[in-house]
Amino acid sequence: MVSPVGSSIQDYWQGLISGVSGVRKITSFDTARSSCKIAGIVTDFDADAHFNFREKKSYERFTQFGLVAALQAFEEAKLQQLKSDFGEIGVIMGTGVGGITSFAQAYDALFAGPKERPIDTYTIPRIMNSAVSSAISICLGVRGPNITLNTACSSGANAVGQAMQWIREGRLRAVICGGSEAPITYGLLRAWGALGVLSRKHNETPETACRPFDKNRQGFVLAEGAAVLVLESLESAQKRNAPVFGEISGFGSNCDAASLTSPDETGVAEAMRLALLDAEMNPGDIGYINAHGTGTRLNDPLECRAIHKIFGEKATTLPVSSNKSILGHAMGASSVLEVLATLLALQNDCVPPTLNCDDQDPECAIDTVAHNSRKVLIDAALSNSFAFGGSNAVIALKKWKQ
Amino acid sequence: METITRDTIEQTCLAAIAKEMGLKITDLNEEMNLRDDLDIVSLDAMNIIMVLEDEFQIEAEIETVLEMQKVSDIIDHLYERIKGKKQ
Repeated sequence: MVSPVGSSIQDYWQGLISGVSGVRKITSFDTARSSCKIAGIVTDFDADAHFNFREKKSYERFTQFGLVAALQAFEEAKLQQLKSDFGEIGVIMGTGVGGITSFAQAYDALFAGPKERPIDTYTIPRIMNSAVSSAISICLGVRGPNITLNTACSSGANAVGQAMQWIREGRLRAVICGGSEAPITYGLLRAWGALGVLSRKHNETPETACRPFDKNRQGFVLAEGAAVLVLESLESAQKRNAPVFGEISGFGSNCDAASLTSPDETGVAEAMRLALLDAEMNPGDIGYINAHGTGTRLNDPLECRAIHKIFGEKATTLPVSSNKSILGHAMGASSVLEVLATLLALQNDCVPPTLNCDDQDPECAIDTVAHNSRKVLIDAALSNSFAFGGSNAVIALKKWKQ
Repeated sequence: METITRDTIEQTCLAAIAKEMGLKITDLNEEMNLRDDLDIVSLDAMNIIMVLEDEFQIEAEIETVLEMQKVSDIIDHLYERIKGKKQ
């Protein structure tokens, strides 16, 4: 995995539970005319350490992130031992905006100078969303289905859910699944800014910018990163002593069918209900919810009402936290970064905090695990992801007990 | 009008190849094979040619370019196109 708080599982988890923000001032381009000047930026990624000159030309940053995360997961899961079954290993990745940096560079070549400059021939392979899943399959030699899907900010969770279904149905031996995003470009920053959903008042103190469930929340900050999991049956993993992080036990995927930009409480609650149903769990089984928790005016109270709808009285005491307060919002990758955080929370019996919830909004009547991580016994959890277009994806997870 | 010499084309061509392939000009020579020595694939070749087309205000024949073997083939092709343009 690759994240603004670290690009190893250990660093990532340490970053989350210590609540050290990955949100920083943007320095890669001039933000003078943008009201939001900050983002969750990956600082420990050295492309030269992973890729040669040709690979760097071919792979845009989001592909590089996804590929590095996939290689880590592949190695950790000891998948090389399944070499004779590589035809039965699939790849499914989610991304929201794919190779948007190369898009911007192509338009710059056409419009930004006194005359048109040639457009780089690598532009299309760098732009295309499916570059990330294809690069993973090409690099690893796995020959099963290869899909990149886009459901905006729930893309990664939908990829994990689809992977779980393939394994459950016995269609594939293993699936490399996840999400990857590198959206921090001037054009996208301005476009999200135009929607009025980005934080604007905390440019001088970036770590305080994303304030989920707080009265004074103003919006999210863009972020970049990638997370990749290997899904397979327990039996398959145990056969080669692969480490088991946890169980993906349910998937709730639906659409609000209401608005391209506004979330809908009924749809969001229904996605949670579907995930529980699919996992054959009751609300009482859940010990933690990793919230979508964007920190926007609209999302947070709506998500809390949906949690109340499903969890009833338990909703006020159930730990619910938002990783976006620490990482920012990595669009199509955020949901998988959060699924991974949820797996680690189950493994460690520890819930990462929600940063900056200093003055909790009464409309967000939940236990936000404000400021500090909390030790708590958890056997099962939900990871919520919602998206523009009303595409909701909720993953239900269980602790792995040997 | 200033005459474009073969030497000028050669230097510009080597500079374009060096930039596209992340190499030093001093590492290059005309006799090098595009694929075997320089690992130039079709997308690289087209990038190099587009830069040169832009520089010399000519149009190269893509099909011909993709069949070229050596650095000198590109230089000769461009030289002929430029001479043809002048006529």
